[in-house]
Formats: sequence, C-alpha cells, structure tokens
Amino acid sequence: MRGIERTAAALEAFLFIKGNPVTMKEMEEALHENEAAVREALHILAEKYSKSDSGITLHESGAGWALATKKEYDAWLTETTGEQDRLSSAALETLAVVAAREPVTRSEIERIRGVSAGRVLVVLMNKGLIEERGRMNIPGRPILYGTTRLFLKCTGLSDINELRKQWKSLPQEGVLF
Amino acid sequence: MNTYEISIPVFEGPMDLLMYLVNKNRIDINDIPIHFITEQYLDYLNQAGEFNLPLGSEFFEMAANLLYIKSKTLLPQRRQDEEETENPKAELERSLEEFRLMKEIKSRISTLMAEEQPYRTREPAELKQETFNGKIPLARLNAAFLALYEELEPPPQRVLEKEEYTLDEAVQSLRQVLSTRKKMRVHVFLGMQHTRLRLAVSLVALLEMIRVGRVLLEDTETGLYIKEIA
Repeated sequence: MRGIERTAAALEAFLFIKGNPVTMKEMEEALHENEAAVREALHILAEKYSKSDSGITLHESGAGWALATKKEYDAWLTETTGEQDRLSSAALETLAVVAAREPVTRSEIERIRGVSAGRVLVVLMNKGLIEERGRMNIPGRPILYGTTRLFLKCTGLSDINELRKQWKSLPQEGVLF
Repeated sequence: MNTYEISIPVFEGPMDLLMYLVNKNRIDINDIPIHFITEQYLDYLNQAGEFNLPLGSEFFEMAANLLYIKSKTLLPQRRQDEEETENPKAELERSLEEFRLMKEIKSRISTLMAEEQPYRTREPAELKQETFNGKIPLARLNAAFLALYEELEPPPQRVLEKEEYTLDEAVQSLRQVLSTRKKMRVHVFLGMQHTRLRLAVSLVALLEMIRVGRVLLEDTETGLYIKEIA
C-alpha cells in the first residue's frame, strides 16, 4: 500500500469510530497530516465508495465529513427500521428562534412566537438539539438557550451564522428601549 | 341531527392567526389597516367560539391589544404624546416582521434537515483509550514522578503582620475627611474603617475630638452628624 492509501484506510477507520461528522481540523490532528493529504485521502475514500456497490457513502456537509448510508437506501431503511424522529411544527419554530437569536431566553422565544414554549424546550433539549448556555445577568437570572453541534449535523451547517444573517437587519430586544 | 360541519382553520397562537390574515389579504406588514384586521381577527374568535375550538387566553390578549391600537388611532393625538409613548402599532408590525422571519428560518431549517436526514450515521463508538494496559515501564513512571517533583514549588509563606493604628493617625484621618466637607454622618466615617482595631481607635478619636472641642455631634432626623467647629 502506498502512503496515501494507508492514510485513507486510517481515515476510514477514524470516521467509522466517530460516527458523527468530523471537521477537517479534527482529521488533520488525528492523522498528523496536512490538509492537502487529508483531502487526497478523502478523495480516495469517496472514489472507493462510489465505485463499489456499498450501502455506505462518504457524506460531506457543512458540519464535516461522515460515513453515512446512501440516500437511495433511505426508503428501505425507513421500511425496516421505522420512521425517523420528526419535529413538530411548534418544535421547529422554537428551534428557529433559538438558532436565530442564541443565546436566548424562554421569554424572548415566547414573545416572538406568541405562545408558551416550556414543553417544546424540554423536547428539544431531550433530543439534544438545544442546550443551556448559562444564565442572563438580569433579575430572575433566566436560563439562556443555544443550539448544539447535533443541530449543525442535522442541518448540515458549518456555522450557526449561516442561518442568522437574515435576522441581522432587525434590532435586538433592548436596543429599542 | 345535522352532521354538516364547517371547518375553520386552527392556529397555534395569536401571531399565527394574525400572520394568516395578513397573508390572506395581501397586506403590507409595515402598513397594517388596523380597523380591517381587528374586525377579521374578532370574527375568527367569534366563529371559533361557535365551533367550540378551545382558544387560549393569548388569543384574547391579542384581541385586546388590537382593540387598544384601534381606539388609539381613532382618538386625536396630542403632539408630545407621539414622541413620548411608544407606538403600539409599530410594535405590532415589528412583532409580525419577526414572526415572519422566524417562519422563514423555520422552513429553511426544515428543508436543510430533510436534505440531511437520508444520510444516516452511526452513533459514535465508545472508546476506552484511557484504560491501563499493564505496559507502563517502571523507569517511565519514575521519570514522570521525578519531573513533577522537580517542578514543585515550595508553598508560599504568609506572614501575618501586626496591625498598628494610633490615636494620632485616627485624629488626622478624621480631620482630613472633615476638611473636604462640612459635616458627615457618623455612620459614614466609621464605615470607612475596615478592621476592628481601626473602628475602635476611630471611635476613641472621635470622642477625643469632641472632648477637646474640635468637633460636635449633631442629632438630626436623618442621623448623627459629625460637624467641625470652625
């Protein structure tokens, strides 16, 4: 095996163990290689999976690279292993507010959506899509919520700011008063 | 019995309903005809009541808010009022704009998630890299210990110093503070002394100054004041 092929094999093992998307930096550190070498190894892996009749593929998204099942087996997997978790409309709306305004308090979420958010927040926390980010330094010290790395994985985003740009034009609460 | 049923749309919250009305009537969010929208909003509440839809209090709060805005626009306004009070209509429009953006981001997240969902990944494997494997040579352990041992610094020594504060110093201090202001509260002066010794000596100094007639104490409703005798 050539050196780069060994690197590709090691990378495959690394991605297999990690499960979740892995960033370029993490791969460079794990393999002790520079970016160019990692990219070449990724290329070898991608070729290998696309050529062979494997059910697995090298999937790249903003969150990083991961070994994932091929898209065409999704329907079959749903049939055999059951429907994947889906978020309710209320949960998605709450997630949208958290993603756009993080770190954000529950009362701010409720102000924007116009309905209470307590139960939905618990659901999102249990799914690991949002997390507590400390407390705001105002009377009552309300909990601040933010999105997790799992959220980035699920949306394929590398950075929460990709979503947040749209809200920049609006003044934040507090600036107005 | 009449089994005929009319379905009216169900909304998750007042903002949801308001947004629906705005979209349905193709109204510009930044210029809402408040009379019109209030009427439609109340209409919905009435209908929903008829069809026994449970409506939360937040729907009625919004109705009250709409009526308030409507009544405000009907009344003539005094100029200065406009600047001092916040414009509730503008606030409502801002809320709607925020709500609209939230919906937009929601659908973006939803789309992104749908795109990513078919690519299923494994749960990360649990790695036990830290487990002792019985292969640490004694020499390396020894070296590690010695390296740490060499690095140890002696614990810092603290010497407790004896505090000294003389009556003269306390008198000087009192005269100094009194030179900057005519009178001051006893509490403030004694509050400046941060140790028990300083507190005691300062009290003695104060009594001494009274005795020799340099200062006097003034008992007022707002408290005891030290006043310098000119």
